[in-house]
Amino acid sequence: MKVLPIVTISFLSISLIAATTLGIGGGMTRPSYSFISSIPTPQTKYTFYSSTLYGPYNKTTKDLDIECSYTYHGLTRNNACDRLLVFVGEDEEHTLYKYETHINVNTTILDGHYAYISKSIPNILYYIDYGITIKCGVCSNNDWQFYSPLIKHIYPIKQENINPLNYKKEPYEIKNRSFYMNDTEVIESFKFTSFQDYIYSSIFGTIELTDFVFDYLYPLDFKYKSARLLIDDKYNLFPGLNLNNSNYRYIDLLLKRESDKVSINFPPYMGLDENHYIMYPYYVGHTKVSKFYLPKNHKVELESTSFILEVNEMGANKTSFSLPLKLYLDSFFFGDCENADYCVIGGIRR
Amino acid sequence: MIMIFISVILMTCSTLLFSYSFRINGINRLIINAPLTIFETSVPSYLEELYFNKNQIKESYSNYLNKSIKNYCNSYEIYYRFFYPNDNSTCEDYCQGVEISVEADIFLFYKYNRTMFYLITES
Repeated sequence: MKVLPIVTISFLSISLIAATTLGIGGGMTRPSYSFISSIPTPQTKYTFYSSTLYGPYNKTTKDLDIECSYTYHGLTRNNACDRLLVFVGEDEEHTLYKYETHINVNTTILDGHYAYISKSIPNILYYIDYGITIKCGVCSNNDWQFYSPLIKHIYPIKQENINPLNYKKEPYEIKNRSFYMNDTEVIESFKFTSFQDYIYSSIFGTIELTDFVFDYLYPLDFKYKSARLLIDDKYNLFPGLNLNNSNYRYIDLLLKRESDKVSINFPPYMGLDENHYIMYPYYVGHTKVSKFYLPKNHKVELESTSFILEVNEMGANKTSFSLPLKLYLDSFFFGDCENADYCVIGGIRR
Repeated sequence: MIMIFISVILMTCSTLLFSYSFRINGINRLIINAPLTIFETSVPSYLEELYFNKNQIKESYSNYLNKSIKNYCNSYEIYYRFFYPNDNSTCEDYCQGVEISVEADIFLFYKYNRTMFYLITES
């Protein structure tokens, strides 16, 4: 009983639906993606062409719906089966899900056999940390070996802490992680050309983050978990800011993507104590300002204060960085009358 | 009897005078000692041309007064006039001077009135 594995695929399609959501965050409607193949050439046993399904998949995703359908010709005996395997990583021994069904031989096989497998596999994406392989196609009844399987990988994401200053000239690139894809490489790329290990105060006595813009290339939206400017406030110059677990004062920052550039910004509005020039992360009860003001008359203390720019789990692969910064204070163009070229004065109008 | 009556009148008057001076001093302190930060932070810092952002000043100053002035008066009005420091003429845009007048109802028919000016100048 031999099967002639002359399998020519006339049409194949697979669609895979990540059951809850993609990326960071959750609670949204199910995203769905579909793959439509082209007709292969007769010389090629198994060809597949598709668009790419992007990850990453949320670990809390509960199940994964897989649909695999194909038509093949050339079977002459009834020792074939349709088979779907899902296993952890690339280890076929560690199977998460297996579906096998014998092909019922009838006259249609001579003309072409259409197989359609649709399964919802619960809890499978809890294994996303290890990656998942999906394999489906025609197999032998004797030893369950695939003749020409369709193999798709979902690789685990690769979280890294990087030093942005190492990627000023060459980008930091991550390829093909947590994606369901065909032959196309999907690259997530960061390039920190303008990053420095210092910040200058502006001539107005504020800190500007305008230099902290990086190139980001990736087809989906940019997401991040948190971004902060940490201050080692040993002189208690920023008592209005909250303390983190490491006893650093911090203010949350916003990352904003425009085209292929991501800029790091202070919140649009913060608070400033009018009398003591103390910054607050909220403006209720204080003067509403859109710049981060430095306390007055503390040049020496400020220049020996350490700042850290910290971004956690940004992008599809949850890349993080923590960049120590020194503060350089220039003479002020505008500020208080003692230290700046221009200032505000006031009085009683008689 | 007359002495008691006079004492009551004197007590009432002194209480009223105390209340009156307390309110005037409170408002005076708020207005005269208004922090310059309110005005410094109203200067846009992305240009080297220095001028007051009119809306920012109005918002910041009224927020500042709102916080405390209600302890001293029943109602108040703020009037803003922006001017050119050179000739004191009224200014519409890119103003480097502002005049702020505060009128407050202190007691009965008495209205407190004070005008302050603030301007950007070379140190």
